[in-house]
Amino acid sequence: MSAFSGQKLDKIPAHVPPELVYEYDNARDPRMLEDPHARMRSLILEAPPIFFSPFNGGMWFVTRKKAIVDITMNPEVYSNGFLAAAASGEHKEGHAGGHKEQQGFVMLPIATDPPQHTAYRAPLNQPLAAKTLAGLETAIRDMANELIDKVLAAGRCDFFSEVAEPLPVTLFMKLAGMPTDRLAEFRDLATQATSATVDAATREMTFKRIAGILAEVIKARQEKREDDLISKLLDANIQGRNPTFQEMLGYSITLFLGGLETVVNALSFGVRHLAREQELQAKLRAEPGLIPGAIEELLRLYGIASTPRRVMRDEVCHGVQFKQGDMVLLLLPAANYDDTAFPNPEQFILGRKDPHQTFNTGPHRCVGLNLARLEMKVFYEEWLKRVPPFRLDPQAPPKFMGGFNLAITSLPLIW
Amino acid sequence: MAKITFIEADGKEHQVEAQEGQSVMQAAMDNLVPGIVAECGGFASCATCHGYVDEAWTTKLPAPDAAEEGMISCAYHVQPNSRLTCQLKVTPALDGLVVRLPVSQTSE
Repeated sequence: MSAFSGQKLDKIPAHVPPELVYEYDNARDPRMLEDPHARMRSLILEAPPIFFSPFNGGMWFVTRKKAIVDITMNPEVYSNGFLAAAASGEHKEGHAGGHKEQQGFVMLPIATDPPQHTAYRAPLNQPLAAKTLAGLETAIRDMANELIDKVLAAGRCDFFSEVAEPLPVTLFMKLAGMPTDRLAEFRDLATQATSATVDAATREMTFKRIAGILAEVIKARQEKREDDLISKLLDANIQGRNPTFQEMLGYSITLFLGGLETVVNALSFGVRHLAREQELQAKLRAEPGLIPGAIEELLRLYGIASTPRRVMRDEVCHGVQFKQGDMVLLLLPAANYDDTAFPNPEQFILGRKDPHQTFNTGPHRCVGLNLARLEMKVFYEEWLKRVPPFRLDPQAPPKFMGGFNLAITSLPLIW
Repeated sequence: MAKITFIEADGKEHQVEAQEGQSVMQAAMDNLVPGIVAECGGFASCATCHGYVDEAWTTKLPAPDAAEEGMISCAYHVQPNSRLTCQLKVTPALDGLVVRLPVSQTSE
């Protein structure tokens, strides 16, 4: 199986029972491209809880919350190590293990498993803790207001490119220590890197370009520290030593992809929901105290990232026989529509008990979730306070994209 | 087997039977003790299994390592006897351990 090739398998592997085969193309499924989250719900209703799809190189898809949690909590069997190979442009499964350093970096900490992962993750925890980030609230509020100032009078905007992209991306690049004047170029690279439709050569070139840009930033901070995440990481203590240059590159690439693709889409899907629900808009305007709870429910309805694992030994998971070397994609946005955890999953219901899967569980649970939540809280507070009731532009419906992330590419609003 | 008592911030007590070798966090999760969230599943990466170890027991436990210490500093409502319960391994010597839980695992 070569999971990132995007090719469809000619033949279903022998250990996959025919009743577990369901054709779903993670990148090109037409129903997903029409309405990504409605498609997630249909996978819960139509497909086996764990199914095998011949698309995307052939892999298992897991859609139920309990199974996903069990897998993420068991990194000995379900490993992230192969990501190192994927990131270095090595796509042939048979060669993956031995070529981890081929392109000179391993995505950190995401491409490692515990206990190594725990050591690599530690330096990120403190700079991204809720306590540490609280100091950024005023700066985020100012940035949100500057963006609202630019679009308010026009009575319309493409929310995606005029607000959702610049806000989190600029903030994140500042926080990390990356140059903010190259926003458009960086966004383009991040989108290419997580796309499931680009060919292997393009992906490899994209990663090389990203690595080149980040290498410059790291070198500059090696010369002179600033008040940013890359500077802090240079001085981090990983089991008694500082990170090497290659490790710094590995950290930076993860931050680059994590910071540039996720909040952009979470904000866009959330605002799209509000644009279609005037009553909810009015309720949140009247009671801003409901915003944090509303954000959690919007995050549940509109999960973005899915996360892959490689099976390290033959293992039965919730009644399904996996073989060593199988690839498993945990469809986190689908798990949020699992009736077992979320009754009436298509409805927006404040105060649900079960936590959503959008940030994942287990050791690789999103390290940036506190930043994401803070940005969204401040953004919704300011946007709902200042922008009159808004709705989708009926002339220009939003456009969507698949891959490892469920994404929007345009979101015209009017008010 | 070791008996562990978890005491919620409002005083409600939960006595559980913990298995040797599992973590104190896992013993709480297995017995559905409210007040422990354990988002990361026990890898010292989230600080949502934070508890206070009663003084009589602090010296019977190994001191926190660097990963645990770093993560405790990210937790809310921290006290000198704060620990991440996922990093405390149940041994027969811990029979009778008392762990008090913070008012919340977040800023709320």
